[in-house]
Amino acid sequence: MANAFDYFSIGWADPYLFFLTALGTFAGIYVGAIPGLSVTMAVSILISFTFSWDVNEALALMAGIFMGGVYGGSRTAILLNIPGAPSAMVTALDGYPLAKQGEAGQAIGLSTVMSFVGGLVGIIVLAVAAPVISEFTLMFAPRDYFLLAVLGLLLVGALSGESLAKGIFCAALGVSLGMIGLDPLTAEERFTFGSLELTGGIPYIAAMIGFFGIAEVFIQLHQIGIQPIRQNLDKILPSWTLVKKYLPLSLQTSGIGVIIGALPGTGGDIAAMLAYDHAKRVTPEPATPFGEGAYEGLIAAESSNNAAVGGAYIPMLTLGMPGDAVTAVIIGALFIHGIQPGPLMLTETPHLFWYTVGNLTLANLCILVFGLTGIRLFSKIVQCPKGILLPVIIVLSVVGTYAIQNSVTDVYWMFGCGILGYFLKTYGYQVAPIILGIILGPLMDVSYRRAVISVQDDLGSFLWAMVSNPISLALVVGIAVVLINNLRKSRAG
Amino acid sequence: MNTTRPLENAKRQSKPGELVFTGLLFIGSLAITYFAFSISGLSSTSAPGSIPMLAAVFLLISSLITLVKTAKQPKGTEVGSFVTAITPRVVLFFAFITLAYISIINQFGFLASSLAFLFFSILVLYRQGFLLSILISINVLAIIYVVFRVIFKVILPEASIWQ
Repeated sequence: MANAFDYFSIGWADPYLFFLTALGTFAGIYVGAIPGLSVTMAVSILISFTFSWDVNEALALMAGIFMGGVYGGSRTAILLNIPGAPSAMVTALDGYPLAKQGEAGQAIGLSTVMSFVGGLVGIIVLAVAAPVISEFTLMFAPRDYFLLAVLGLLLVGALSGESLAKGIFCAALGVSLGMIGLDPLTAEERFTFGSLELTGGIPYIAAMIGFFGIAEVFIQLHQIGIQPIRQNLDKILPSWTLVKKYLPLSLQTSGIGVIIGALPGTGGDIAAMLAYDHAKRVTPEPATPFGEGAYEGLIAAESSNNAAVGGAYIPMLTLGMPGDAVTAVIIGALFIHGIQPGPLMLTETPHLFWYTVGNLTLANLCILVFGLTGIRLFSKIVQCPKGILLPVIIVLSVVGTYAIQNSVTDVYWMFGCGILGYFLKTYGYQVAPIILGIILGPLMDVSYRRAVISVQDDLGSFLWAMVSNPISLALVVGIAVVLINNLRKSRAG
Repeated sequence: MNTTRPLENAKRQSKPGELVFTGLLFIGSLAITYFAFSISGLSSTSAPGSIPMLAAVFLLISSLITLVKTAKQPKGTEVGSFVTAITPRVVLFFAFITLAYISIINQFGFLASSLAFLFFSILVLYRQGFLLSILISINVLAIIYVVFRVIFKVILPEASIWQ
């Protein structure tokens, strides 16, 4: 325990690491707050600069960007009715009406405090649950990892878009892209077409920057002429009475957030929707109706989506599986830094786990500090014209992609993925399942083949093992429930 | 809550070029299926091509479903033609200038090519005149250079043309 505390406090005690976490949080808040610049985009672009750094420095910055980005999305949701991140969509439901009533400052202040509470709950659950889950996951057989990957892809495919078929298409496309290169078990070439450059696989960080950064820039070009609205903000520090009044609801919805965030493939956006629904049920008579400026709605959304950050780290650190698109990007970065997240991480490298928990806690504290100060600077950055902002993002994307392995070929990959992402997004496809597919594809491949090889290539025995083992059966049932539920919805729709 | 983009308003109506795009995705899926099959065929359930084939089958089925659905949808008329709604001039310009930027970055180096890219794109997108565009470009580039090259020691492309 004493060791755990020592590891936890590394990021707090070292001034440079402290600075990097604070810088990451600051950058995350401001990038996350700019409409159209998602937290995934910010993380993909900014972490690419860290590949030549020491791993501790990179982890400090990443934790800050993630925490800050999720929180930052709420700012523009409240002020402009434009969520800076998908997880802030629900925040806009009551946040924007509050801003229209002249309570923008109060709404931002309260959402900051409740984001802090939610973030803290998420981190506490991560610290308590991850070691237990990690022990449990040691019982997982390769087929269970295969099933978990399928469940994760199915969840993100089904939940992130307008159509299940489009979601599955994107997940399968991601898996196919993840198969490019040498087979990890037999070193046989797959989808390389004789090209030596493709044997190492596709540069997935470049692909991520393309799908999330470049594609979004091109989408934003359609709104180039729209001028940001100015808002007057004076007092943003919420009163203690208000905080005390809404704290129980914040804790309840944080619980929802952390559970949803921990499911592979689901993130803050789904957590916020479910938490909002919960707030509606437990508050039958709010002072202001939901959707018209109810503080309960704002608090539910903000507490849960920040709690989901800690939740998303649980499958990432214990199973090596991304909880959402952002953790998919972070997993990619961890691989590049030579860290293999998974069940053995907590036993073999506990210092990295507790160090990450410490960084997340510090980043959460920074949210409180930066969130309740610097409102003038914030207004100026958010009002930056897109005519300047979009070219700057392109330059940053180029710098970030080039920095991965000093290769212009990677920059072409980024551009190609960006153009494909633009058309996919335009026609209602979501790019998050592609990224998850790229990350989960190789895991799925190796797990499936190890499982089949262990039963001497007998597909019948493999299928029997899936229904006769309690863990596998639970996952099979989970997959069936998601599939049936979504097929029903598709037919009804 | 109005968070939709202009093109997403035409729900249940196909967007300009959507049928062609979906058709292309289906053709691409056919090609991926062919290449996945040619990795190891149906030699064994644990062969290197097993998961690529499984993924390809899902690609094929889901793209076919989407193609059929899109073909059945009425054509959207609100958002205009393919050129105006999907690839307006501003998108084409920006795609072209970004590609040009990437193409010259190795020859002219990061500083010169980024300055040219920032200047032309800010001039066209921000529309505040030559002088302001060049001033903004120089300032932005200086900040990026100092932060990433000087402080974070990130390696940036160097000009090969002068060497």
